Amino acid sequence: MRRRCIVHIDIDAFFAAVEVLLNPSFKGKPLIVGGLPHERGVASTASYEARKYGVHAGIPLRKAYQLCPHGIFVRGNSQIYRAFSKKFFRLLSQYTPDMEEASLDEAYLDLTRCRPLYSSFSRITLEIKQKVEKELGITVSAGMGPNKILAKLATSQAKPGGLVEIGPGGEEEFLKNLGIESLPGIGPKAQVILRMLNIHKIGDLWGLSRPTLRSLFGLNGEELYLQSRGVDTRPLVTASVPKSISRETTFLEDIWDRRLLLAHLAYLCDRLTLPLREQRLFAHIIEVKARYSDFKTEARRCLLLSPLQEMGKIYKVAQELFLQLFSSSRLSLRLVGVKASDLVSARPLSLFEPYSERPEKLGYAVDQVREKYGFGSLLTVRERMLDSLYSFERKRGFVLKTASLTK
Amino acid sequence: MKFSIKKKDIIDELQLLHGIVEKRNTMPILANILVSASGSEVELKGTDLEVGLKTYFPAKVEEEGSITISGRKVFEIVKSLPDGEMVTFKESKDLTMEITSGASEFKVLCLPKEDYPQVPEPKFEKNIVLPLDKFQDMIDRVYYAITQEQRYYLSGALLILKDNSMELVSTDGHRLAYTSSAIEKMKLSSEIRAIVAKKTLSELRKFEDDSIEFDLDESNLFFKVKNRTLISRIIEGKFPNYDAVIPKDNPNTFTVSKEEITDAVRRVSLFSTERSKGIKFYLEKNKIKLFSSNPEIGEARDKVDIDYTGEDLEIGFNSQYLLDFLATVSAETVRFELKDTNSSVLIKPEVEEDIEYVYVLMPMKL
Repeated sequence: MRRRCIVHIDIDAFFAAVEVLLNPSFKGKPLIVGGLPHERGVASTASYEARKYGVHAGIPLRKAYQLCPHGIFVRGNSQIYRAFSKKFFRLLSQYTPDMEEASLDEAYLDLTRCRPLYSSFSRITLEIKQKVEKELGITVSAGMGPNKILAKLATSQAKPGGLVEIGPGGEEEFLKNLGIESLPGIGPKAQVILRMLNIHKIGDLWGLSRPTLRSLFGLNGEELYLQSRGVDTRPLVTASVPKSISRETTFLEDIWDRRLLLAHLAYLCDRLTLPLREQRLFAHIIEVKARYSDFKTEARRCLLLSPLQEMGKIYKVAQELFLQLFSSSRLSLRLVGVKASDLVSARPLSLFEPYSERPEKLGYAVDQVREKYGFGSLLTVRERMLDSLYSFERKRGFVLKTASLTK
Repeated sequence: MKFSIKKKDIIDELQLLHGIVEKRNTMPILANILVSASGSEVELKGTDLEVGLKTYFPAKVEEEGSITISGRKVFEIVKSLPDGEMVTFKESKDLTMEITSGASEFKVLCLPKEDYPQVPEPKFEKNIVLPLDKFQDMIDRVYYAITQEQRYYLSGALLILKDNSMELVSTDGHRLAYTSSAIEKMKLSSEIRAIVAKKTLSELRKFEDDSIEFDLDESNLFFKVKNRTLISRIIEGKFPNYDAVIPKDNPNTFTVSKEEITDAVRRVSLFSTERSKGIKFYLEKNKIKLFSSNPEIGEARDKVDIDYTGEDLEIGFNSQYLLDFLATVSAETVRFELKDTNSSVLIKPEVEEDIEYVYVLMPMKL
């Protein structure tokens, strides 16, 4: 088979990098995005300066504060990150149609089909990297290899800001001395098992036979056997319909007021329907999630006969689900979320409700107004009840607490 | 209670009851059937509170009495016994039933008859007798469009009985199946309308005879074929005004061979997405072009020649919904009547048949 050319591109410390752009005085300082030190929740990104102190994504904010008390803590704004992300993908898609959006801040490009266009893959990759950095004002790392796993591993070696290429024949040399933890299939548990067997580097893994790995890790073992040898035939997932789209938020303080909770829910539904319209998708399943002050989490879902896209209708379903959850509890809530899944682009029309284009057109009209005047320019009265809790910007709407890297 | 009977004389009844009793574990007694022996007859009853079945047959009764026993177990036991054998059922102490046949012995735990829910007593006073095979053919034509969902009134088919016709209608909100048939003139004091549960229709399909007796009271429907009586709670709620959604004069029409269109739809639907099953029809002069695409697989195209002279039209359908109709229509040629991309389509056999059959299908936005 012809050797493929897969490029993996990843934005360095994405959220932190955006925050530095917005506030240049943060530059060169340890910056932690995710919340203020006394707040609950976890860090979603740490700048490289903060990482020196042992702060990394996923650790509790309090812990981050202990490790790095002089760090700058910001809550972050997922809407801005999403906007950046969109621009990032738009730039990349100019170079090849074969692109996979792996998460908000990373993408795979398959340049193989574009061979006639580019004289050198290394040169064009460097050009892409520089173009993104110039247009977005943030640094990215890039890795090149014959498949996704090698390209991603190359990127991890290129961070921050570099470009690493694994050329033909260089795979073994590259993999040999990498730590086993760099393979995506190896989690903390597997690491413990392997280290007990005195296996610390990928090269050490080569000594284990396929059956041995399978007996240790089951099907994952098979995967590991191939991964550790740099074998990966997975194609890029290009024109994918997302499995689900969700929006959720943790509150600054637990909330008990039903009207305020519903206002959050309405705002999240509003946010949720934006990508649905953008991708012309309709949801068959609406799910509402609530986390109580005792951390117990409950969800309730509803399977719809006719898939929905319209904000008002989705909110109605979500509200009903939420009230079912809420009315059975006497605790206040710390998180609420809404999820649309079983997404389809096709939808059957109803026999008993005459078809009207108006609700759909209304949605697109709202989007156009918001495109021009900002998300906050058009909000329902219910949503505006959040005024008392969050800072409001015409351009971005409310600045809620939680930001998340998932698509 | 003690009685004996040949396997072949009870197995069919047990199988039917096994289909009736509750399979989910909500109330244990609903998984049981009520067995009563008296005189020279044994009566079996089963119910899930929505649909009940009563059946009786002659047997050699040695001791009278009644008890309830797991509908599934007793069916499985009798089924496993050799054909032609006599089976003896004997109630023993401590609420158990002994089932013996040849060298086989079973002791089955039972529940007291007092706990068994009341199955409404059927009555047949209106003297309504319907042709069973015709009725079953009609059930086949509406059965697939019945849904199981929140809108309770759609979980059954609407039965309409008039002096000289019977009609069945079902809909799931996206399509509607209507069927009607002339019957021998009856004297009804007024038209009968009732929503019949899907499960009841499914059980009625299993009955065999020339005719079926029918009656109803305020809350139940009664169907009787020979020794078997089905009691079905009427589904409450208002069935949608189906007549209003049957399009009357869609201008763009064509006829097509059932076989050709079925095959083409089946082929093209191989590439429709799992969830929506959507395919597209492009109607042009004298042909339909069919198309489907799936971002993860690819595209499929096909073409069928037809006698079409209407305007060019692009319209999406759920391919399964098309196939459901095509699989149940007996005519060789079917007629499509369309208006536009967003309006309902009427499909029916080209030539009117003994049983009138009309299918209304909403398009799909693709």
